[in-house]
Amino acid sequence: MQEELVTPESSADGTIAQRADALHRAFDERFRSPVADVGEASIDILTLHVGDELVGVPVDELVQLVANPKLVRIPDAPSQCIGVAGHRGRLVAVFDLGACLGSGARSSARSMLVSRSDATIAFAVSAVDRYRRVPRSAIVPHPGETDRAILGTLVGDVRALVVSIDELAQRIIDTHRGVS
Amino acid sequence: MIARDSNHYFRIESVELVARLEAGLLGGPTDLRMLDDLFRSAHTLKGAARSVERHFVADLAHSMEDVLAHHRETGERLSPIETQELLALLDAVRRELAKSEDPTPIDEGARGPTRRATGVRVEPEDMDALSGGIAEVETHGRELRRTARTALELRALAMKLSAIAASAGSESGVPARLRAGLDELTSTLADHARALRDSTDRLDVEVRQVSQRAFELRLVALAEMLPELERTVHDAARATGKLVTFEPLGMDIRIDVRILAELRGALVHLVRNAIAHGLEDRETRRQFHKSETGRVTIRVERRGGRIALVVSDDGRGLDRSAIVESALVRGLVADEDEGYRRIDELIFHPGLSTARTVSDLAGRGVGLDAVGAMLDTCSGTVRVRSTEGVGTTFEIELPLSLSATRALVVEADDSVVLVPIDFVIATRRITESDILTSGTRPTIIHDGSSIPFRTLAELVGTEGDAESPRIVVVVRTSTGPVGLGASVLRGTRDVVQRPLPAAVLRSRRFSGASIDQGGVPRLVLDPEGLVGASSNTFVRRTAATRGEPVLVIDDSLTTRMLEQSILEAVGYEVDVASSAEEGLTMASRRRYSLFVCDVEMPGMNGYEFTRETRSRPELAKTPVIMVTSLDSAESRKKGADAGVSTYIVKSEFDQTAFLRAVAELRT
Repeated sequence: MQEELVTPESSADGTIAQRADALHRAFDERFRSPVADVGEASIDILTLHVGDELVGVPVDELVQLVANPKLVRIPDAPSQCIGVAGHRGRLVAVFDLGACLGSGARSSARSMLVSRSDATIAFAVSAVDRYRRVPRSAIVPHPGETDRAILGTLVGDVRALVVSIDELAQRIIDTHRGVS
Repeated sequence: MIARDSNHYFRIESVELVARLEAGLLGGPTDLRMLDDLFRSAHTLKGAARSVERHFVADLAHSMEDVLAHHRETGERLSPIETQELLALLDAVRRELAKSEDPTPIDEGARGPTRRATGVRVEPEDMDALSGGIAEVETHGRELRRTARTALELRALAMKLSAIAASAGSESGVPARLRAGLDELTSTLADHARALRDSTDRLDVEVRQVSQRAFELRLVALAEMLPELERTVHDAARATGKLVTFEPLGMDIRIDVRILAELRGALVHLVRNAIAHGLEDRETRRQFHKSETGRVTIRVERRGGRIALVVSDDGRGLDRSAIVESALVRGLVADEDEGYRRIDELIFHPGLSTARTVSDLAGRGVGLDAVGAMLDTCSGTVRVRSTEGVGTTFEIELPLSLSATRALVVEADDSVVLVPIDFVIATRRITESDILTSGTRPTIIHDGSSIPFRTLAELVGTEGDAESPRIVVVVRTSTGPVGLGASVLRGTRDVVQRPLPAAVLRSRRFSGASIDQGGVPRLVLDPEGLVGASSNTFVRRTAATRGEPVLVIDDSLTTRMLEQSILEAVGYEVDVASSAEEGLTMASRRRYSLFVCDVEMPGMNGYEFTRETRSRPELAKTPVIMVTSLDSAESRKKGADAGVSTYIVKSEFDQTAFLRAVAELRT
């Protein structure tokens, strides 16, 4: 069973009172529901808008989500790299997640996800959709998929390609080092 | 002064070298530079062991050196079996060293006067982490100051409301309780705003002090490495049977710990080379009426924000003909003329040695390429002066710190670049008429000479809609002054420079960036980037690779990224698609000069894609390169029948041939 947290943004468009009401109901429903999911392995996924597509990323692969990063373009950088940004006193190279996935969709960098495996790499996305705790079985692997960055497709209320940004970050570093 | 207790220093050095070798092997050296580093460590260990007559250790190190030498020459990666063999040799070295471990504490007196009596050793990485942490606190401090300003604004708002309520009077219907509440709110907010401001002011002062202390902690006296240099002189003199006087001057100057770490190895090799190659043997010196005792000096002096290290010997001078001969043998130069012209550069080439035989001290070309590597890392420069029979001088210039730099803030359009002040020769106003065209390149006149001229917009890649430069900053580079055109100068600023992330390091125009008060990274110019900009880099980008982009279509992310990076590295603009269907959609929206396409993809395959594009008038003339693992005559025929221009099999993939095919098909 897929379970979702309802956020104010996700509720029907309407007044603050309506949103508060939706939150209230969501809280009550969660509170009332039995602790049935504990037995089934779950995974925390952050779903994101990348161009026109919805993409999911395991939350445990993120260090931080930064809104509206200030970017400076680096000439001669790989084309997927849309610039560098400051993060916690260090510089991070920001890559367009859509371009890295080869979707051709360029994300306007509204938010960036800082990778846990390499904190000098971040991925830009157009917008954050929401945080979801889902059963692992809700992520269906692609038959014959050899690309380790593609974890599968999240099925349920929404469909989203689930990708490993750890793997993408490692690939960027390997490409930089000339390792194929 | 020569080191007195060789075994003592050998113990210290061998432990460091073994640890360095082990870390390097376990990390898996992935490029030539890492192999070079391992090779140098083995080489140094061998020499050091030989000089204290630890012959078995020297033999073990020599065996390691032999394995590594092959890989260093060919660039091949170490196989897992070879890595294992090397680690086994290293274990044997460690066991051998442990046999003679002297349990008695080291005599402090034997360490010499330059050794610090107290203190702890701090690794450069730890210092970097500390600096990063302080920068983070500064960032949070800025957030806090913004909050303090908001509190002041709230207080002002509350005061305004309070005044409105008071002026309304009791008959207006505003309850007295509301007025009292507003007064209380104003007073509470005033207290909090004041407390917050005081706290942020105190925090500012404390952080500034901690930042200054951390900066000072990064600075270490060059004298720290005197024992190692003295030991090098001692060992080299002993191994060659030469008499040597060593004169270090100005070693009390302090430099950044990270530069010291890089400099250490380079200086050791420079001194060792001076003795092994530079100084003549006693007999020869006598014949040339020189003192039997050769002289090696290191003179250190400050030059503004930089230091100069002048390493001189009074030996025979560079053997120019041997250097050129060696370069010719290795195919580094086409003929003798080129060899003599490039001699200052050739002596720093990895693997170039003029020694006739391989010995413990020389002959494997280890020495000067270590200096070249250090200069690259530290943004340093070197000048070589040599007179036959009189001696050789290497003059190295380095920044005092890799982190703190005084920089000129240069602006054009929306771009801001920091130019390290040490490299600024002059600034002045210019007009369009000052910019001349010599050949294909713009130039300006500076000090009566014509020098290359580049614009800041060109440097940051926004030349398309750039305004005309009104100011020129003349920057010192290794090939002479270069003019950098800009719109505005915003004065100078002390900046803390951070290295660019590894993933974008291949940008050679910038040595790093500094994060400004608003959290925006500001790029710091690497003056050598202007040299690159004045030669091949820009020629490539503006000539063959200009025009419509290339579309790479492959369902494998790795292949897409690799093909994309190969093409982008030489200046092509590239778009990517993960399926043939997506490729067709993209091609209907944008014109491409070439399709690079896989065959086997889910959905439409590469043949079908090619046939489809041939059937559409607007795409029919766009050539298709097929890059595939399918290597059969039938597959090739299917490709040719579909209309593929070039068929490349992945197992035979050759970057140069691929790029040649791309260039030919796009014309």
